[in-house]
Amino acid sequence: MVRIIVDAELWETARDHLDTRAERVGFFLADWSPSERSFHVRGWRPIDDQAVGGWNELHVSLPDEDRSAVIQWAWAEDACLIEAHSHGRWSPAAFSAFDLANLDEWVPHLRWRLRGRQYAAIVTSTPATLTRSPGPTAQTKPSRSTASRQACSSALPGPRARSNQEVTMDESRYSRNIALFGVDGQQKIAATTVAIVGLGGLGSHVAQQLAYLGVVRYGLIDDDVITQSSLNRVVGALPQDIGSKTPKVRSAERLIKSVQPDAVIDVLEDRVTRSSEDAAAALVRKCDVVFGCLDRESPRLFLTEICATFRTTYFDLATDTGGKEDDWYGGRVVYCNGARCLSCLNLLDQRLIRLEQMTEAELEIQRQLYGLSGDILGSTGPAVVSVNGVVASMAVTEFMAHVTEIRPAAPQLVYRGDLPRVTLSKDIPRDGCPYCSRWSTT
Amino acid sequence: MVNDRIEQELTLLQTVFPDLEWRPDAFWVRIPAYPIPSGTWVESEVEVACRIPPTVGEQPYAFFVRPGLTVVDGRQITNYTYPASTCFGDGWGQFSWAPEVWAPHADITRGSNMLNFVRSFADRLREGP
Repeated sequence: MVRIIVDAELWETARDHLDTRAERVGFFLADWSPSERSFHVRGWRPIDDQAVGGWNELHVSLPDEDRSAVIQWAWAEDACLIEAHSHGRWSPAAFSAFDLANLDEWVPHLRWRLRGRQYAAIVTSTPATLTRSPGPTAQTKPSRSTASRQACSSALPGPRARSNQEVTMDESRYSRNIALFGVDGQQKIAATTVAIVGLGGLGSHVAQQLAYLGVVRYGLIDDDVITQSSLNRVVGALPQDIGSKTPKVRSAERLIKSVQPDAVIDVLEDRVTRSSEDAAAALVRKCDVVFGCLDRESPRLFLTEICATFRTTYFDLATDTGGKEDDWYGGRVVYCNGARCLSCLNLLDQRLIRLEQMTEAELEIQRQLYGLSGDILGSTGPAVVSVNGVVASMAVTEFMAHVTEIRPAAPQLVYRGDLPRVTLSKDIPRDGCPYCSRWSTT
Repeated sequence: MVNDRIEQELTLLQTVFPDLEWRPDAFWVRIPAYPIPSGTWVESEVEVACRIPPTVGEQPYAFFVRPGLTVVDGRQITNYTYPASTCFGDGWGQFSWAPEVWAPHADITRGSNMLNFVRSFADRLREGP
């Protein structure tokens, strides 16, 4: 149950504006109390009709500058927003399909801009005002209001909000999560946008687990397709994907949607390279957390740079083996957030970064210089679903800890499947790292 | 796009090599006159060129000399390819050369930087062929 608590005088002021005619708009400024599951309204901002370019008797569409101004108002006041619009005398106080479509588009953007803060919407009619709370069973009336005593309705629409709504509407779905990190933690997960770069053996595990965990907004980046050899480890890959050459991002999208039908997924079928960096950066910029699930070094470096630039939390996952001479196998997860990164932990293989970026002519020079032949970037090594699963599970668990704040995320976990053992690495990062200094810049 | 770090690298390089040429489209730099350590090489001064990695965490690799170098006693040069091309044209010789450690610092003067790398070319040339 969610309540909107508004002072009577403020409510009257708002109604004076909203009741004038259909499709008038305003915003309440409110504080959200997770423990009370209540909005405490402390401000009201009517939208001037003159500023509403897309207004008519049937619907209203706010110009970008008004939307931006409202977001800045809430950001400056460190508050949530509750939008309100009127349906006037002749339409019921219920969200129309047009309203819901607009909210689907608007709310994810707004919650991203406001760092996942709660959001609600109210629709009124004259003289009745109907709202419905974001909770499943709540019929919330604006308390402490002497205004209309009719039932009210509000909503938390949009992809992220839908997930929040689900938490409330069907708590049984996430009850076992909530038992560990609480409703607030679940809502934080629902409000977090995640990029997964690399949707192979590691990234597909991550995608599946995040979907079950309750993440609803994703960016997926990979240029590869499902092949016969993918079927031993890529979660969600099907035999029929081979003939259709299904891109791994589409396989992952399908997997996520099977768990989270309302998930919003941005897909980039490309590599993270210098040439695609702008597109990758644009996608990563929209995300709160990035998982690097890559098998090459240069994309790891690019991701480190992009995440440091946008101060985005970065989890880097890797599996490896000792090769023919040494029978160790395992993997590791590194949590990069300004205190350490792949560069200052010396985890990047500079030789591979160099080779991966060379043209074929440059590679030929390397072959001649060093008497090498064939694929000097190295052939594909062992890759086993369960080993990948352990590493992905470690990463998603650290993500959960980071987002829900039940504990700090571990800086670097190392899995040795051959021993078998998981250890917390105590490697000390190099002082003065240029990337970490960017992450830390405030 | 030239980022702040590369601007710092270029500024630092220009303190020692004020007449360097910079190709921002290709991230290459050319120094018109680089002194060659005496005794081993026929040439006493050459052009050198190298690429500045666009990402600070990537160590630089290789340097190019023009004209190609020749050893006084005619020995063959190891880890060296001639002819090679750069964005400054043909007729270059390429030395396969990389720093042993690449540890950049947020303060460009305190860690690995391109000036250290360019200065290390002389170390390679002092090693002889």
